[in-house]
Amino acid sequence: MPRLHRIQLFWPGRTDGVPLMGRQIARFLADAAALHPKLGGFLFAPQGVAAPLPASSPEACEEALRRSADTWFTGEIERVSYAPRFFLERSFAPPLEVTVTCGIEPLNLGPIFTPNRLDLRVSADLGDERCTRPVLEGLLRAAVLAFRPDFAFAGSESIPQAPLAIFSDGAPAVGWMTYLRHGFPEIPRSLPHPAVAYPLAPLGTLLVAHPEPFDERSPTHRAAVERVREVLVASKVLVPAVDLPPA
Amino acid sequence: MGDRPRIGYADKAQGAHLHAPVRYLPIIIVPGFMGTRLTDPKTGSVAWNPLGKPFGEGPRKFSVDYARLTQTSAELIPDEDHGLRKPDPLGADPSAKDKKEFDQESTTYTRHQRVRHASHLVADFYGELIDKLSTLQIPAPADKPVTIKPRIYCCGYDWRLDNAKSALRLAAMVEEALAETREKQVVILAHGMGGLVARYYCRVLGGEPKVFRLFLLASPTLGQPEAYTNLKHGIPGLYVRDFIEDTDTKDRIAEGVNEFGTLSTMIGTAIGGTRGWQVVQAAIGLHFVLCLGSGRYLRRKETLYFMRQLPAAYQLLPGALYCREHPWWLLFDPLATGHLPTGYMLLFPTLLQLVNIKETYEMAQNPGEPMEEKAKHSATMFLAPEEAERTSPMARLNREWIWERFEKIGELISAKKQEVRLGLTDDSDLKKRLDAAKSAAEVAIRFDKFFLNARNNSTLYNDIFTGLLDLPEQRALCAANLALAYRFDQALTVDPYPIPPVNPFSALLREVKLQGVFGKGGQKSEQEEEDKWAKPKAYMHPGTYNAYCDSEVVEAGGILLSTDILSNFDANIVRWVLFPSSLGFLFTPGIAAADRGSSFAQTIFGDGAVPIASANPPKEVISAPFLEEPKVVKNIQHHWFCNEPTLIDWVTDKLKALTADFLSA
Repeated sequence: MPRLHRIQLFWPGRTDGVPLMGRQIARFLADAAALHPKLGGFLFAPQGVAAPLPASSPEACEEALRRSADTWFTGEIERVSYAPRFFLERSFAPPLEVTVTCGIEPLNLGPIFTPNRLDLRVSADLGDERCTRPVLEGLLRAAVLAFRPDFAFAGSESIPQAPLAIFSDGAPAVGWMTYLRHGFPEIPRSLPHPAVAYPLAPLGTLLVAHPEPFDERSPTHRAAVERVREVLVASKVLVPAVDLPPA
Repeated sequence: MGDRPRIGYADKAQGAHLHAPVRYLPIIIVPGFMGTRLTDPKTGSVAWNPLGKPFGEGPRKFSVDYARLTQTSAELIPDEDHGLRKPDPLGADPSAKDKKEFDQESTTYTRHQRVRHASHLVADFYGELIDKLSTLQIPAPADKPVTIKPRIYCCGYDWRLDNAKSALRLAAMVEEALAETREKQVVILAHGMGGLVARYYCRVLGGEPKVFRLFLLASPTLGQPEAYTNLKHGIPGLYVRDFIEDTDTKDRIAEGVNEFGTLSTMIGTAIGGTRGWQVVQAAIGLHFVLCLGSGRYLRRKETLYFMRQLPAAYQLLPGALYCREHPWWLLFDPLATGHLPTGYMLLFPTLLQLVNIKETYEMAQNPGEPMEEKAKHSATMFLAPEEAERTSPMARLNREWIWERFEKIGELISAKKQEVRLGLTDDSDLKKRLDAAKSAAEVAIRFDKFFLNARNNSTLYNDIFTGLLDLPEQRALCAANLALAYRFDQALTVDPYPIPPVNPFSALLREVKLQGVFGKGGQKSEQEEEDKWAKPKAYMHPGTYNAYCDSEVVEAGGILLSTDILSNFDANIVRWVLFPSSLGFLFTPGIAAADRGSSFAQTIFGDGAVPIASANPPKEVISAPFLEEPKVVKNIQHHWFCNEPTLIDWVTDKLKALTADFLSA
């Protein structure tokens, strides 16, 4: 069984506000719980609090946001962003954890890739039943519906390599599952076998390179992802996120 | 140190046991330019943490204090705050209640305990490497019952300042590592500019005996050509606003150059088959970071002034050794008068050379027009003598001399071609003549009085980089930093004695005779062979492994576009602007397929920042050869080099393999 599955989403600067972000997070966690009974009961552990708290409501998620605020500066302007972390069962090495880095507003400093993002990790000891393709795909879909990203992918810990803020242009990385919102150039209809693509209405398109849950140790799986990537590169679909028209 | 005494203990239930003695493998990671997180020692505030929260993994939040970074008079120190809490076994920390959690937290903490000063480094650049090294399982040799544990030290430094100063920090870190581990030697992994720091420590600060092995990872051993463009034009960026708003023609040209350089690199690399925009993005990332930190758009002149304040940026300039070995780098004043030259500029791969080599290769395959016509055409395009004021008789003489040589070579080739047509000789001989003619032409270009002998370091630094002194208000600063760079380069050069200037005619005659253009060829005399090895070399630790990337295009310079040609009877002064050499890609399709061994490819391919020519210098240019063939990595940009999985695997395999020798040392 692969050691770790990873799902990442990226979206541009927005002025969403804490209440809206709290509702988005709560919706995602609730949708995740609906996928499988053992995906319910997310917790968060703010500093200075004795025991982890349940992230069971939008208000609780708002609380998690406020307690995870980071302030930073661009010149004289003070900015605030949030990075709450939610997990199942235990804080250290949990079977599933998700960190939502959000609240970054549009910076208006040129074509710099400074995304908001979600990073979800599912470890191997979650068990086969929770690492199936339907569950992982369901988690990706739930996240896309909640956060409306520019692009997202599911893969392993190291494949694909996520684009890094500031030092890259934010061109989407291609993983086992790749989501691209409407606004990217049209994806070719014909994809190399066994990849499939289908709409994730009304937001964008989901491509799945291989039907089995991704294992980076498998040459077949890696080759399938690479074939999809080559097709998208050749069709010039993977444009930098900073160049996308507004959603 | 000899084997440590074994310590034994007895257990009532299970009998006697022996502890296997523990040995440590101290590994010091020296990051490259911008790879250290920096803090102001007086205020405690973080001045350089580009990938802090929310943009990266941290630790701590994003912070780029542009104003503080420009103050190079006051040193910044590597940040020591890694943000980790020590696990509390007594349960006072309520988040570590049950044992399993505590064990896992302890594992995380312990891993970082195995890594000293982890917070020095920008984690996103070096995190993968650190993680793999800190958990490395090193099997002990069969004949030595020891347990070997890696102990990692991250040696950050103020990457803006003089690398000689940074080498002092490395020296202190080595002493710390040796004291803590009680070993005699360390292993150093140096990325990028960190390689210069490590080599300075080994050679000048007496560190060589304390370094068991040195790993150079994409290090610009002979300098980085891009440093010249950065110091001449500012940090690469998209200065569209400058281009629109500036009214001064020269500034607009410079902005256009910078813009065009960025765009043409994108075009060129797209043609060449590499990831065009990502190459560009990597190059202009620093501009983005500084804009973000300062909260505003930074104009090109601001980034230019910023760059010129950094002593380290000058120490990245390509040295004379680089220019000596690669004919695509020429140092010249095309209107030289025989007096001390002025207005010299470093000449990068130029359109002239690109056209020349293309034509030469074509001719070698399909002999057509006489070579002298093509050479004349190429040279005329570039030098455009009819447009320049040429009051110097020496300049006219030099130009006539070159044409005479080309004419002579052309006559010889024509004669040989006639012989072939008449069946008096065979094609192989003609090929040899053509090769000889090509060599002769290259020699002519290099040794003509138009050009400097690049082996002379002092001439290089005294004259060549005067091109950086174009802004009066920055002359004192540039001169001071150039002096530092010169001394630094001298310190890393073995046997830097000045070589007497060569009579170009004699040199040419000797070369063409050797090549057999005028008759039977010959071999170099023993003295000439000795002279070859008496050339200055770059210092290299005798236990060095080398790794580099060879697939990414390096925007290494440009064509000299003259903006002013002033002359008087005694000297001709030329002012130049760099025009991106990526234009050449538009004229040479298929450049991606270029043989990486060719000297041309060696200067334009690398890891996006450091060309192969510098990252993998030939053995003739280094004082000690590398221990084995270098590790070549593909498709990775300079900043991410240390995250590349195949590179990390190579490093860990090497470390495991050298353990036996390390224990015996």
